[in-house]
Amino acid sequence: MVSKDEIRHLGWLARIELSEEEISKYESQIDRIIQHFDILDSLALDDLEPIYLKKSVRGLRIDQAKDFGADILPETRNRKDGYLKGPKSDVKP
Amino acid sequence: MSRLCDLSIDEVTEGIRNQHFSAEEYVSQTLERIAKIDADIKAFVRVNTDDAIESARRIDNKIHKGEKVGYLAGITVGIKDNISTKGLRTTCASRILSDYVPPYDATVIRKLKECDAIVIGKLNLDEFAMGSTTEFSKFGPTRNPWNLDYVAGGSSGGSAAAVAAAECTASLGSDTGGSVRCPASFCSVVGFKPTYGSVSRYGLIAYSNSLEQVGPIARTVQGIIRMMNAISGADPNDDTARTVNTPYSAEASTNRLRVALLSNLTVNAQPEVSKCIYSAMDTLSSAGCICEEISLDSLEYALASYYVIAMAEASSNLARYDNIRYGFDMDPEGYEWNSYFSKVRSNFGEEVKRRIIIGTYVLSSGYYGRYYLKAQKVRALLRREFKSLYSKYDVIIAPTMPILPFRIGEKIDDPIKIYYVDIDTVVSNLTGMPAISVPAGFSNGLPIGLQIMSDEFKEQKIFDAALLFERTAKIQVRSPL
Repeated sequence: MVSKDEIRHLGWLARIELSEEEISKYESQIDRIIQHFDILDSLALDDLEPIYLKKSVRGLRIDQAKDFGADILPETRNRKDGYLKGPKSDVKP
Repeated sequence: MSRLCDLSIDEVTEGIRNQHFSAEEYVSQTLERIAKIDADIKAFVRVNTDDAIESARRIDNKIHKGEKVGYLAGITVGIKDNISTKGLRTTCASRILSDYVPPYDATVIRKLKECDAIVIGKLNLDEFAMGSTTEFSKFGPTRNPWNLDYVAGGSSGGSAAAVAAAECTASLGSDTGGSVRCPASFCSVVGFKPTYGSVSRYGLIAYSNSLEQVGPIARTVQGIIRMMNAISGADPNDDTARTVNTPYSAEASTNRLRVALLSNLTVNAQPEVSKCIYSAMDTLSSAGCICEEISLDSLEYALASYYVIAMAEASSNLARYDNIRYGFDMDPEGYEWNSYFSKVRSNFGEEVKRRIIIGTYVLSSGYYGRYYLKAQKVRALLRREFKSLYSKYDVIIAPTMPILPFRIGEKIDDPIKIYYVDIDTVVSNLTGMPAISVPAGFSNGLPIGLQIMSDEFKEQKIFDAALLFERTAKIQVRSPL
């Protein structure tokens, strides 16, 4: 069972503020969805290697800064003194 | 003469080159049609009026001067709103990107423009392409042109509905678990998911990188081939994109194709759908194909494997939306960063939040081995089994969708019901192999699509089978409106 506290914690890990109403709704839905995933447990897969995207890498492009011009994201709203403005990065107590 | 809006890609490009009509005339008629009917369909989220007319005039000028024009000169292409278009707002139908104007074109857009195709506007989708009905869009649902009370499918619902309603010559969508094929099936048009690596993903706003591909939608298989010839191939900006064997041919091969029907997907479909797919197999037999029925038990695990991987990748990919570099109007002044990001990110829609939360869960320590690792192993198993099947068969057929289109709102409160409609399409994304949906018939006026799949980089085999089916079955391609 996925509990309300777990949903709240997952919301924190994903940095998504969830309302109590959302937590209640997601609790039952997510639990049912995870139960469907448990079907994967019933399959014997020990002899299989998981698939990952593999590609031999050669001829990489040069990692070089590209000048896009003076104003690359003109629609950005939060600006101050020609810089993009972000929240303060104080560590949460 | 048929309406200009109903013309195929070849008819449009030939008509413009031979000056039977001008590109400007064609674009103007397309814009008039969008203005007239899109209030009902809601396929477009943004129409690129001024740019489109200007591009058309440029093409007409070249023709008047006797200069060479591009392969797709004058066709109007609608673009799913998760594909970056320089200077043209690209929102992913999300509040999180409501103000985002890309500073560059996706490679597929650059290639289309180099062929003188005209970007006519941006098309509706489920937020960040997560959904199968286009109901999870901040703009509201797109309606099915065959019955406006029904869903158009998704997540590229706008891309399929716009082509079905003749609001553009062709369109681009993206397919992560069926998002091009599902709406193509529901709207009775042709939709193609290329092999992973056939088409560059540069500029496609990522949701699940290891599964998704940009794919075209058109009214005919020939239209799909023309679009694929324009957008396929290697790209220095996407290391997974490869050189492919183009141009693809639109002359159906005379070889006898070996066709296998996946009976477990077909038998479990809604009876009307199942009947239609068996009759499609008869059509292919009558056209000279050697058809057999096969069954594959491991398909039972495909849906769970798909959703685990897609949600895990979504939770990682969407971590970047912090409202600093792109976003909407919310001043960070006075916020500490954790609380600012959490508040901003609560503006994702319901389905996106659900997937990020579940993706975070399946990747968390203690659960990784149980879900994500197993899902990747199922993926390896399916790939091995399909590889072996393609040593015996050229193509495999099945329904695209297990059910007929349904009413808007009918399944929206039950995510599992919506996830289950992807059951026939996700396997091609897991294996990375190509698949097409072609119109196969109607039941009670609602479209049914036939899915044709093949081995990786064997797009031509799919096109051969699809052309043969299209020419033999003769399903209506004219717009319902």
